Amino acid sequence: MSIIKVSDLTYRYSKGTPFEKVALNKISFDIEKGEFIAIIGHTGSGKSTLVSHLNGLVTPESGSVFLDGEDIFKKGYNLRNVRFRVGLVFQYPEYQLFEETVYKDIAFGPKNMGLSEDEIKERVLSAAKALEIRPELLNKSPFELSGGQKRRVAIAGVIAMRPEVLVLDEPAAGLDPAGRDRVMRLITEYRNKTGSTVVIVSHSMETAARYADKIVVLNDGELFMCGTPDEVFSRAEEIEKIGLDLPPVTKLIHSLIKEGYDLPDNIYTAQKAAEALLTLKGGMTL
Amino acid sequence: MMDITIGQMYPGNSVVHRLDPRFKIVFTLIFVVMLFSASSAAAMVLNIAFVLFCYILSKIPLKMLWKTLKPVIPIVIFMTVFNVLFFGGETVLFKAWIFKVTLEGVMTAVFMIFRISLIIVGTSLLTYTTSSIELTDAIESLLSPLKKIRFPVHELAMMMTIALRFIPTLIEETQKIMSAQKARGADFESGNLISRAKALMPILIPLFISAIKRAGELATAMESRCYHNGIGRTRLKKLTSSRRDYVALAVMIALAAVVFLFSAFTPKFI
Repeated sequence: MSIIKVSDLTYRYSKGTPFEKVALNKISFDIEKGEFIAIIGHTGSGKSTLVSHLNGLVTPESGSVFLDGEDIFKKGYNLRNVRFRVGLVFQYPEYQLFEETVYKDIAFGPKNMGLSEDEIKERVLSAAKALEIRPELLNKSPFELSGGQKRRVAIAGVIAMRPEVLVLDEPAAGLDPAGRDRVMRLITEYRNKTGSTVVIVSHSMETAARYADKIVVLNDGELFMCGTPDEVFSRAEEIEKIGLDLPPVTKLIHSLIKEGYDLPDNIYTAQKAAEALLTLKGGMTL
Repeated sequence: MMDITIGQMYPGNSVVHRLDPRFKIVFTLIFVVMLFSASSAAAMVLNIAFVLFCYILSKIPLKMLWKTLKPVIPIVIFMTVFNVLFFGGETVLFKAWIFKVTLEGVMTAVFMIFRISLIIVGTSLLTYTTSSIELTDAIESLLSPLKKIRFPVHELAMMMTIALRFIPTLIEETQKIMSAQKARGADFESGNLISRAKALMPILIPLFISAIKRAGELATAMESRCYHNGIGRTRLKKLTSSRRDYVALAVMIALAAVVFLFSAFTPKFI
């Protein structure tokens, strides 16, 4: 059974004012347990609004979100509990840091869950380890850290709640390439180790191609595509038409196909591209 | 938080929107005087009609009236109750325990309701139809005679512009931080007063830090574009007044005169 089911979700901003705008229009898709999902779309396509519905922070106008088969917007449902089960890391999460020490900040979520001191300590230390936060940083003020360190502390603060589903809105935005790779690597490692479901929001097709099992493409508040990377990248032209960039490898392969080379059209990683090119050259393998 | 309408503009292109903002400020002042000098029912009715007429003229939906008034309803109710119960006066309607409800008290309360509502609705029309930039430009222009006595008019106007500009930004920021802390299970709704005040810390600290940071960044940005105290600065949009503004001013003065006359010669209620 799918762990999260988004069904006919519709949301409008500033309803009843001259600024009214449809942010989401009848979005439906499923998130299976253990899946790595990427939600892709350009700025203003409704990605962030969509993920704010997943843990009940925003109430939809119509439609709903089902967590383990239960409607989270049903009257009397404990929304606060949903927030512990679906951990949401916002865009630029370093702005949410407020405590005196890094340790206390990571402990904020677990403390709100009402856990015992020992349990909190255990969770904070393991979350810090998972995000490669050195133990000596734990007693420092979060405001003394570098940008990349702050980002990792903020993510650790959500991971420490041990959510079944981890949702990250643009976790690598504004970081340098090394910082970006590090954050993405840590998220992948965390997922492999714990087996938890991960949803990542991004505007970069390359990130999606590299990490996701399933890609959800949004365009102007509508569900544009939903499928495996293979399915999505075989429709490259449509993706480019809505203003999204394809991974460089996919672009290269597509121009080779145009030149008359006989290559598959759903290549999106360097590994796959290398294999396909070698096969083309005469049955060689890596 | 989303329901704050004060200071927000309601975009449009009506006659009221196009009036010179300097005149609009003067009109608002005249209106306030008109409202507080209205001491008879006829004068009050004239004020009510005037406000409604202006809303219709500016093509702002009348439900905005309600939206503007909603936040002040508790204050209005509070003042009404106090006026009815404690005003004193001669014509006693009924008495109970230490309370004495008089005709004068009831009438004062009714007038009070209209005065508070009208002043809020009427002055809101200024901000609904005028952008904050126009507004501060107009204030600067109206206060410019004070420059002679070395009053920092431009600096004051610039401060107002910046303050107004950052209200929506800070509201948005607060909402973002609130969502982020809620996502970590922060609870702002339950608990006693002390625990609720404590629950605000996770919002206030990040908010202050980012506001201070933003102020520094803005100052750097202004300095790197060689901003200096407005001496010799020209404007992108120059304020101009046309015949329309003078006609409106004449009508406004005439209306104020009628209100004065009504207040003086029609039967008073208080």
